[in-house]
Amino acid sequence: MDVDRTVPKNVTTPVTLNNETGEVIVKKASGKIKVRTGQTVEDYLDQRSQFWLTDSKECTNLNMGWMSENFDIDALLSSIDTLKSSKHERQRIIDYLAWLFYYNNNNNNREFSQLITDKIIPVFNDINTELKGKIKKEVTLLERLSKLNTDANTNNINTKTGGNPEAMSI
Amino acid sequence: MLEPKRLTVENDPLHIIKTRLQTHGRPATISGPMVRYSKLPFRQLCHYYNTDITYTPMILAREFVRNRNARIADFTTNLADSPVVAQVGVNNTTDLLRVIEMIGPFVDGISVNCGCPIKEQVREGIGCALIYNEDLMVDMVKTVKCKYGSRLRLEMKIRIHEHDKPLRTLRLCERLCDAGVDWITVHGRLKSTRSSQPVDLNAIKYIVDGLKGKNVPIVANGDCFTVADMERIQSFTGCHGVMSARGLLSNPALFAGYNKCPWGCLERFVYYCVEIGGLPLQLILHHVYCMMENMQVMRRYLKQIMSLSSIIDLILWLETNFEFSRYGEEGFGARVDVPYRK
Repeated sequence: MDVDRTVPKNVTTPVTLNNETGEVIVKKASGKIKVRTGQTVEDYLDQRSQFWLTDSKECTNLNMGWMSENFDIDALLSSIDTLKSSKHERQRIIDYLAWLFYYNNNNNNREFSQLITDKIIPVFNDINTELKGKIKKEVTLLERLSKLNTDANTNNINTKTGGNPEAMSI
Repeated sequence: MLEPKRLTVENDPLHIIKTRLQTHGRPATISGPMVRYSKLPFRQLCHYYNTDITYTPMILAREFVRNRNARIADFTTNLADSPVVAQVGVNNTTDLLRVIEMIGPFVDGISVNCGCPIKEQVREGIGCALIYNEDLMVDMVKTVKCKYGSRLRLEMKIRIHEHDKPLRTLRLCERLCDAGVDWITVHGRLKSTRSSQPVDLNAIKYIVDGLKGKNVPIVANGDCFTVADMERIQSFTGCHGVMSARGLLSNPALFAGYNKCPWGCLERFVYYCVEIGGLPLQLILHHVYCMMENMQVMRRYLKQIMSLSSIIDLILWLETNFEFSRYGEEGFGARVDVPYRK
C-alpha cells in the first residue's frame, strides 16, 4: 500500500549545507529561508574539552551531601567577576543558604544570619551598585533572610504580595 | 577521549525495557521528558518511587555544543540518577553526533525528540517536524549506530501521523528498526492533537503488532495517571514499557501504586531540591503546586504557593500550615494523607 508522504504546511524541512559544521537551511512554511550557522570543528573541540575537563566535574557530581563536602562559600564570594556575570553562580549562594536553613531546625542560629549580613550582603551590594540596581531583588531577599533568626518565632513568611504574616495565616 | 557510559544490566535502558515484563510482571516504567520539569531532583524522586528509567528535559543540541551557559542550565546529574536518558532536540546529524559525544559519557541513553509539537521547535525542523522528514531520522539512526553500535542506546520518540491505523508511522518505524534504533517510544497523538483529547491506543497497538518481527521494543506514551492505566495500556497495546509525563508531574509516586500523591513524596522532593540545589524557584513551586493539587489540598493553600519568594519561604510556609518533616525528623517521607495543622 502506498503511504501518503504529505508534509503539513507549517512543518519545516531543514537542509544541511555543510556536514562538517552542521550549517543548516531552515525553510519556513512561509517560504522564507533562514541559515543556521554551523560550528567549526575547532570551536566544537574547545567546547567539548571545556565540558569534559571542567564543567562536567560540577554538573555531574551533585550527589546527596555534596554541599557539605564541596561547597566553598568563601571561594565563591571572592569570585566577584563571576558573580557579577552569572545569575547561576549567585543562585548557588541562595541554594547554599537554603541548605544551611533546612538542616538548622530551630531557625535560631546566629551564624546563619551573620553569614548573610557580614559576608554575602556586602558582596551583593557591591555587585548591585556596579550593575546599576539590576540585582536589587536578590539583595532584598538576602536582607530578609538575614532577619529570619529573629523573626522565626513569628513565622514571618514573606511573599510577593507584601510579606505580611497576618495575610498568610489561615 | 571519553567513551559512552558503560552499560550493564543495572543501567542499560534497553535491557530494562526488554525484561521488566518477565522479571517484574509489569512493563518498564518510564518518566517522560517534560520541558523544564524533568530536572535532577524530580528525576531522583521518580526513581525513588519505582520509575525504572527517567528522561532529561529536551536539550537543544545546537545550544548544548556551542554554549557553556546552556550546558550548565540544561544538564545536571549524579550517581543516583540512573538509568537516565538524555533527550535531544536536533535538526541535523552533525549536531546530534556532537551532543552524543559530549553527553554520552554521563547518561545511559540518548533519545531524539521527534514528538514535541511546540511551534518554535517545529519551525526549526525539530520535534515532531522530524516525523515528516523520515529520511533525516533514518540517517540519524544509521550514523549514530554506525559510530557506536551497541555501546550507546539510541531511542526515537515519535508521534503518530494519523489515527487508528497509522501506516506512515508504521513504515517509518520499520525503517528506524532496520537502521538499528534500540527502541521507539510512540506518543499516541498527532502533531495537532491537544493533551485534553484521549491518546490513541489503537494506533500504538497497530504499530506494536506491525513490528512484531523486528525485535525492537515499543514504549507507549500518553494518558498514564495510575498503575491501573499502566496495566490497561500495556495489556491493550502489548507494549514493553509505559511512559508517563503529566501523570508523574502531579504524582511522582504513581508507579509505586499511589493513586494520589502521598505527602511524604512532597517532603522528599523538597529534601532533594535542597540537597542538590540548582532548581529555579518557579520550577520548585510549580512542582509543589502540581503535587498539592493532586493531593486535593484546599484551594486557599494552593493560591498561596506561587507567591512564595524563596525555597526558605516555602519550607516555612509548609511548616506553618502542615505537619511538614525535614530529612532526619520523625515521620519524614512516610505520611500519605495531607497533615493539616489544626
